[in-house]
Amino acid sequence: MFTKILKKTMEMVVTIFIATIIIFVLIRLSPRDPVKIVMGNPEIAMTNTKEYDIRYEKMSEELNLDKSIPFQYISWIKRVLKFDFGKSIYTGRPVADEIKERIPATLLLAIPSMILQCILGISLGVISAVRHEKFTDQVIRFISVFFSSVPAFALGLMLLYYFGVHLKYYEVSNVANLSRLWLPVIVLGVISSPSLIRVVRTNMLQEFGRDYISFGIARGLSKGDILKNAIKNIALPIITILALSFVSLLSGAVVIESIFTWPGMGRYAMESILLNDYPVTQAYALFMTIMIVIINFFVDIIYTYANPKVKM
Amino acid sequence: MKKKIISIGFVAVLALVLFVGCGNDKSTQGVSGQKSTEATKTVDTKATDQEELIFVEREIASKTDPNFYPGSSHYIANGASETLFKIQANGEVEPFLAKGSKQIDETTWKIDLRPEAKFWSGESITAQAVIDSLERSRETNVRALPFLEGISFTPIDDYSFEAKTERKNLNLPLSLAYMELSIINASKAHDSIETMDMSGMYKVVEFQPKKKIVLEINENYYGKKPTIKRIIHEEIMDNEARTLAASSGRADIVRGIPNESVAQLKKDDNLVLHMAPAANTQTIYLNLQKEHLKDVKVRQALAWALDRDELVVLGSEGLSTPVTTWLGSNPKYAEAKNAVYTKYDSEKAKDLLEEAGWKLGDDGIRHKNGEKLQFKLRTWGQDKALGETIQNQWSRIGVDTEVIYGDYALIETARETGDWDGLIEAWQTYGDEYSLLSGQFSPTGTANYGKYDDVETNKLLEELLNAKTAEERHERALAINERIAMEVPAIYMYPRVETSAVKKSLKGYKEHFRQFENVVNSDLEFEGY
Repeated sequence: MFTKILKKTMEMVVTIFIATIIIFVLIRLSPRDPVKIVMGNPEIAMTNTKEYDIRYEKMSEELNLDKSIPFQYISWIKRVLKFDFGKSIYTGRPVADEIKERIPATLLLAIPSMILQCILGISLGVISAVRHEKFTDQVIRFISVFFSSVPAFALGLMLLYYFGVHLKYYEVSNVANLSRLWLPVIVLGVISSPSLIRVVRTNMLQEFGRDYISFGIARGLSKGDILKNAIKNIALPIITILALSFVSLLSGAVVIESIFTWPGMGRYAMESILLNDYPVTQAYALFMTIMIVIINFFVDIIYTYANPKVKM
Repeated sequence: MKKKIISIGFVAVLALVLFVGCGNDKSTQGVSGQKSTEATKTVDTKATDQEELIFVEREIASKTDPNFYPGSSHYIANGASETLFKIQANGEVEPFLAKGSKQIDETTWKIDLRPEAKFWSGESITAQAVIDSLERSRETNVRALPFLEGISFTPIDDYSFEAKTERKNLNLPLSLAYMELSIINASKAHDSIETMDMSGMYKVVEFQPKKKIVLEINENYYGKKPTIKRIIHEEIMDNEARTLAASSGRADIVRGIPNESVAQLKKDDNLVLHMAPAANTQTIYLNLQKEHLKDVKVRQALAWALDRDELVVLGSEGLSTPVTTWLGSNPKYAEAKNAVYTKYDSEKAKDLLEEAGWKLGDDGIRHKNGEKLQFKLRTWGQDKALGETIQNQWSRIGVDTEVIYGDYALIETARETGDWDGLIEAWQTYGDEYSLLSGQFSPTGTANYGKYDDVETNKLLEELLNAKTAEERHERALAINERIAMEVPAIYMYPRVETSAVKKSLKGYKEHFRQFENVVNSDLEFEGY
């Protein structure tokens, strides 16, 4: 087991290293001039730009843009290793500080959303399997198809309008607090649950067809005990779906955070892209790559632990 | 037992996450940038609705220092900062923080200050303090540079100073009214709320980067004090969410309402919509380096073939009004609004193309020497309706138009590589006439994208530069504007419209063609309070 973990850790380091190169190069392929972004263009087009040109040259040197790409990469990676992601062009604040401030808001949204997804996904999936081909199953399948077809922004806006404007139960502002949490959590939980419902239902139906279930019934086990055994056996696909959900929620539910003006990582990334705030976009991409790699690493370990036949 | 431990652990983790998350609001209330969260001040939020005004915008100041963009204009808009002079809604320039000004000779001005004026800290706003502030802007704010170019300042006494300009007869009050020239106490660092020191009727008491700025009345304010105790200046970037902030009744003023939401908000009895055309002109810049666009008849044909009324209806939801020349959107040049291209005339456009040798083919497209009359138009992603309308209108005269949408980076790249025939932009048209017109139409103008170079226009620009009086400047600017309209280095359509939603119970909101710096004023008050 230890050797497997060590091997996986090495793979993780290599993946992150390659990712840093890709992120660094991709950001530099952008057509915008970073110096102009930092300095800003004069608001009104003027003919006399001598002073601007002098400052432009100075700034290019300060940002090392006159140096070769490998030199720029090495100096960037050195700073990254010290958790220095540079400063936001827009706010002038260290990007690491801004990310640190955004993570709690993202977790506050992501964890309850995932819990709701679990509750809806597993309970409705199991009910749907138990009531296979009955009316309840049809209703759950319809709901599942409906919510997987509705775009997140449409559901979000509709609920925001209904609760925020019509009923005035929800505050349309930009703070992250408990009173503003429930609506985005409902939207995220509801739109992410259909995939889990389907996985649970399909796997449960497969389990119901297995011999151990028939033997259990023959031995007079209660329905609850039979279900418990079946659910244990479908744990792996559930873990896969939840891990994927967690990664996407952690990287920020961009659309939902924007609509509900929730100050999490998704909105932060979206705004940095719109504002061409490259240090932020670069740091966000790297941070999320590391998070995804780490989560996948843990999922692999859980898989191996739950089923030693699975190769890491 | 095992189950109980797991359950307790789960609840503990959840509680911790919720606690951390709830604490987030406070942890981000630190002052931006260089100072730590120690500088944080959490203000009392028990104020009644009437004591507090919530003002929502797409973006707010990103730093505590107004010299860093976006800063100054937002601090002017929320009542925290002031410029020496201010542009009124009719386009006239009037003293604001300054008491008055006098032109001594062609290159010398005397500016008088108000002895009673003080910064938030209570320090007097002396001539030296104002000069230091302007020099700080020159040093740190690239956007302020063009407005201070060739100007030097010398104090005369405590409350008056002299300004020497390299350019003769420069309208100095107009330059000093520019939104990036907020007067601040330059001896302070402006890197936290404690070290901010400006002159406006409100002062900043809380700053959350990219979220909100809270302001309270400045007790040292020299002018009429406002009645509303607190301003909450909030950033909501998403268009739909901003619209919902207005219709939910929570926000009192929402700036930057998208055109598509206007019809919906018009039905709201609790809101008043203020729609002021901005002083900018949506313009199709033409690439005069392209062979087919070197012919002035082709350019004129494209200008005559635009049905601007239809463009307004489809491109701006019918909220703007047509403008046929560049200066037409400037309130001081209202007479230029419908000059030259007085009506939509597609027949005239067709005749001009015939005269230029472009004959209509069986495919509905015009041809000359075996080549199709094609046009590559680049514009912004949000201008889809406008792009398609132009495409349709030009197809009626036989021009095969391809419209390419993208962000500014793509447009800039196309401009550098020459891969464009036309591109849409909207520059400000209000300001110093020479600077504006030479920036657009002189051979070295930074917005002269199509490399327009016309002897007659250059001569008129020289005359404008040497004009001695405001009347003379006005006359010369109109002459250039007309010459440009005839020569067509660009085609003019309509000004963009700025829409603000204001709660009906709020009185004193003033419409302005530069609404972005004219929102909070001392006359604002809630009805019945």
